[in-house]
Amino acid sequence: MEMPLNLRLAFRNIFRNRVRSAVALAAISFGCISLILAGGFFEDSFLRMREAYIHAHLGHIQVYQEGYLDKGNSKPFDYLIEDPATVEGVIEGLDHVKDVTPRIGFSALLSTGESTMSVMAQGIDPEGENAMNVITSIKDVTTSLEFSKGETLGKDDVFEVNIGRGLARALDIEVGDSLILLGNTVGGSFNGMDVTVKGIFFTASEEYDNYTMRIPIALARQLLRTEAAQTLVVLLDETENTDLVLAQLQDLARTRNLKIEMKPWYEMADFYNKTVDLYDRQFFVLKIIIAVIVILSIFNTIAMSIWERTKEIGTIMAMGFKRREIMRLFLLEGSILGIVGGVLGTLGGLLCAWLISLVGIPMPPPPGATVGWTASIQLVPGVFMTAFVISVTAAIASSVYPSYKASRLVVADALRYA
Amino acid sequence: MPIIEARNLAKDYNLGKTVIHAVKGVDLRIEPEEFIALAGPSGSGKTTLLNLLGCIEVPSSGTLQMDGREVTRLSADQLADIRHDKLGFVFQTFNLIPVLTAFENVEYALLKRRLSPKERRDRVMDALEEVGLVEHARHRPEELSGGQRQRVAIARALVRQPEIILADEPTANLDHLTGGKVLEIMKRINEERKTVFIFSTHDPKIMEIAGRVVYLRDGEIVPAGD
Ligand SMILES: Nc1ncnc2c1ncn2[C@@H]1O[C@H](COP(=O)(O)OP(=O)(O)OP(=O)(O)O)[C@@H](O)[C@H]1O
Ligand SMILES: [Mg+2]
Repeated sequence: MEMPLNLRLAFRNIFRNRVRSAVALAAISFGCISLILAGGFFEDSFLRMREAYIHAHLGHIQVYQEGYLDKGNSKPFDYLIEDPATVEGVIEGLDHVKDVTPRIGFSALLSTGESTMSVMAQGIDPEGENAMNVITSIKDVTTSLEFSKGETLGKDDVFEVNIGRGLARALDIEVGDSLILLGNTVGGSFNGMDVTVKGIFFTASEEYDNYTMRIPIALARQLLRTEAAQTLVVLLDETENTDLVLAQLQDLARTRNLKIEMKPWYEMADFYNKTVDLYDRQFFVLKIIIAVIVILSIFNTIAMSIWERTKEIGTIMAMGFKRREIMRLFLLEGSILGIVGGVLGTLGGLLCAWLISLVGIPMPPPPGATVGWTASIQLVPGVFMTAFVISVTAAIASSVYPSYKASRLVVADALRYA
Repeated sequence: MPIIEARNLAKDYNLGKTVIHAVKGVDLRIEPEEFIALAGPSGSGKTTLLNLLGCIEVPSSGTLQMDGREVTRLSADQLADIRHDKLGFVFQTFNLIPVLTAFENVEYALLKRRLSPKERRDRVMDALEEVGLVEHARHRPEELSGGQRQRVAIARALVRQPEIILADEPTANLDHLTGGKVLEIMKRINEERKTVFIFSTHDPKIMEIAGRVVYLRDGEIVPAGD
């Protein structure tokens, strides 16, 4: 199959002046590559942040007793899952579910004997939680919960606890210290326990590390005098499957009359959402800037290549081509230039992203976090699409005015053009 | 009925301070099958008159009819349609599209016609055959001599089988011999296909072949016998 004549003509016109076209194509590809790298870098930050939150704190979906989301804040102990094992069993039966682990959180007082602070105590199942903390989806990252001193809770620990780094600093706590944990039971009476510090942890969220301690859920249940769970944290194989599993779970809750309700991670990751929103806006501005740069750098080339064909335009107008047909011809050329530039840019972007990811970009800790990391460039189809569309659009946009001017030429004048 | 009838046709160019009257009230009837030369000194208005007759320039005053239809007040698109359906053009500087081969240059004139690929090919080859350039179909303009280029241009004008072909000094960029051959081809097409040719020229020898010569001076037709 031969290419239609007008396409053939457009292609050949683009390659008529090799040096000039190469420069224009370089400008377009350069813009495309910049967008792919910037977008892929943002996506990488999002991915890391998201996975860190999910694995350290949120899980993919959290399941509560019905009513908890509305009223759990004021009366946390009135909305507990009384029979967590059954619900856990049901959830574990779903596809894509990797891990379900119970939690019970409460506020308590933590005392060293000298000083006392109000803390968030989180009763966790060490085994389930440790499995959840493992991150497999990001290169060079293995866990979302890291220990500056000591180590994480194990399944045989009874009175051992982990303390957030900020909290440990505030109370001047070291590994091995004995502390007193004081709290209210579910029934409302006062209860206290002696605990031993086993490790001091930090996560991607400094705020979390400033107020939180993690204790074995058995200890929490003993302190609170309940067998219930407050939250069942569900971890999936892939973050992309969240909505799928959420829908299945909602169905299941309805048909089995489980009296539970649930929230996906993204409804809880407020900081993440705000960050993504902020970066998206920055990226939007960046897209505009790059589009403008591309347009400014190729406009002249396109205009020149059209002007110098004035006589040719006069000739084909004399042959009976109409203004809009002339305009279409040049817009077609602009589109092809954009498409060729976009394809080159996409390939270049892939190559650059791969090279940069190979080396890695050393990064300082993001706001609210405590550790630096090595960033890479994520290859996200959406980013490639955007970069490609912007390249093509910029090339077409640069052709609009020269094409319009060309289409408005007076035939006789165009023919006289030397 | 004349194929073209111009009445009191005039074209002024407004250059700000001065106005140039390039064509001043020309009356001209062109009959079917004619082979007409426009002659006259440089600046006498030959190109302007050809452009007016070819609907690529709009007259300042006067009227122009083609096949009895008034075309003076038509829109740019309607004029383009007339050029597409009835007219073919040949230029002094050939005006081929440099990135297209001889074949493609001729094919380009058929771009807006709905034809099967075979029909299109046949018509292009017919036109090239008519000007004796079948073997050069795959050549780009830069690989052709001036005379060959002009023959491609004639094939391009011819391929749509127009009623009229307008040629502004088609031989001026060619040597005498080559120009003569190009003119012979035009004359043969005129005789075989009955295509009307209107062309401008400086060359007295070429005027001899013309069926009729219209002399211009200062934008006016010089009466016969003057
Ligand atoms: N676009 C234009 N603007 C201003 N003046 C013009 C324009 N086109 C033609 N003229 C003037 O109109 C007059 C007629 O020009 P035209 O080109 O028709 O002459 P011509 O007979 O074809 O001359 P030549 O033999 O040199 O080609 C000349 O004085 C020319 O300068
Ligand atoms: Mg002239």
